[in-house]
Amino acid sequence: MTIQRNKTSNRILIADDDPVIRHLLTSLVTKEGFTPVAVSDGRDAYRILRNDSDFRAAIFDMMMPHLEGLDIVKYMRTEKRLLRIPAMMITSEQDLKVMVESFAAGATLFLPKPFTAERLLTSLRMLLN
Amino acid sequence: MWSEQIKTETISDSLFSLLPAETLDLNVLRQFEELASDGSQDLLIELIDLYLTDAQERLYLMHSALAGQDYALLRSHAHCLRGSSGTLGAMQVARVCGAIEHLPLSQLVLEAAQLLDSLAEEFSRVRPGLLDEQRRLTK
Repeated sequence: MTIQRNKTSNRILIADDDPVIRHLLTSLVTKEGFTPVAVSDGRDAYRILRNDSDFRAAIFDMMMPHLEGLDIVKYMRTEKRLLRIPAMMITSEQDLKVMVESFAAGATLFLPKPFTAERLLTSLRMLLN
Repeated sequence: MWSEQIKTETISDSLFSLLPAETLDLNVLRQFEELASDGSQDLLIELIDLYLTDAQERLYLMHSALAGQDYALLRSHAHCLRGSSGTLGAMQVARVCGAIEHLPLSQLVLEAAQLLDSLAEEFSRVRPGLLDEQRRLTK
């Protein structure tokens, strides 16, 4: 069964293999009034997106086991039902090339780690609003 | 052998010098306290708990990866630990993880054991500071 994206969806897909960052994102998304759907690797995120497009936004770590964040964003940009979901990439890489690759793949925002609390919150609000 | 040691030390030192030297930057950590503006300190307490558990686990997994000579896996764990360490202010742990991630493979093969020792040492330094912070928050 395929779940179609609802324009007023409150759900945010979060995929990060780091439990600290995942918990931080989940808590902040909840605090901002949204419902997080958190997974710990790229393959699980992909499995969810294959059947479910009911998301307001998505946040992916760049480097994850099985499937990288960049590959998921590329997949999202090939699927009409997922096209309108904004995606933020998070990465420990400071390389400008990585940022360029993310935007070229279709990412909406790019957040390098380590990030400050303020920067994380600002990025999250930009993504969600 | 002697010249190789000098060379590897020089490379590691130069990589280490790229990052800040503070063991635990409490200012970085406490920014997340401010995010819990509803008065709850739970978020930071939980983050510290998760970090300490995850870092301990990753140290073990990194030693296993080294024993199996799986340097890609070693780097993958170092990458993950670097992200959370830097975000929570554990700068020295992040710095050593960065060295493990970015050293050329030939250099990593020679230095991995020493770097893992440094990582364990830095983690043992940062742990009491994080536990103190947890105690402060639970008071």
